[in-house]
Amino acid sequence: MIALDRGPVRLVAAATAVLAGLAVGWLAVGWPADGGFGVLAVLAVLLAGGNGYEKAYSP
Amino acid sequence: MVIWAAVGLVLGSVAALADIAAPAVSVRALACLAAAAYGLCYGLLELSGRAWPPPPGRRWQVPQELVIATGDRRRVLIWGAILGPGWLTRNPYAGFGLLPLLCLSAGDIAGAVVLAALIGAAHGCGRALALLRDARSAPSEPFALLLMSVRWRTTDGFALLLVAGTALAVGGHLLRWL
Repeated sequence: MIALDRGPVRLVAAATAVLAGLAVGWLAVGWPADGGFGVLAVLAVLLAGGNGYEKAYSP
Repeated sequence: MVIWAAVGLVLGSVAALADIAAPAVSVRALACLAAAAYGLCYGLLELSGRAWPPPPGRRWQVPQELVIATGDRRRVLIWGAILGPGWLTRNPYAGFGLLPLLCLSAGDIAGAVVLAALIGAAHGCGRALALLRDARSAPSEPFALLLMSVRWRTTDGFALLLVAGTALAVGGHLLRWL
């Protein structure tokens, strides 16, 4: 298992997340219907669900 | 969901009015770029483990006496109006603050209302699922809860960076950078 607690590994993982987001967005804007908003909306709904769930773990 | 839909109505109206007042400026693109900047800043902050600056939001928590030893109707009202939508209570994860910006990126009233309602439903369902999980298991030790919170903060940071990248690409496309 990758140790995400280590600084350099975390930095690489963070850069990968941004690049993955850019790739998803770049692919999404190719859809003629909404110019990428649909994918952004799906991510927003997933983020909202995750935030509601993780809030139970706030001390 | 209803409260979030009302928020979406306000944000969509602001976007529509701004488009009328300044047609040369794309509110959708600006909202996407603002979401990207927010996601990058707070995503990196959450991954670095720094506590400052704290995510935007309130520090208030529902007092126990409002929930314990009260009637079902009042408890449902508190959960439905305060805890489910998530606007009034403390939220230590920065992901929540990104959601209004993403609603604004809809650029029109109908899109913002629909997206906000879906966000509200997802947030409320997430909270309800966490409650059901907690009801079935023994309460966690305080230290375990703290450790879990740190892990969720890391997850939230990665999610923020992913959404920031997507918002940057969509905003850049709207501004014809891509």
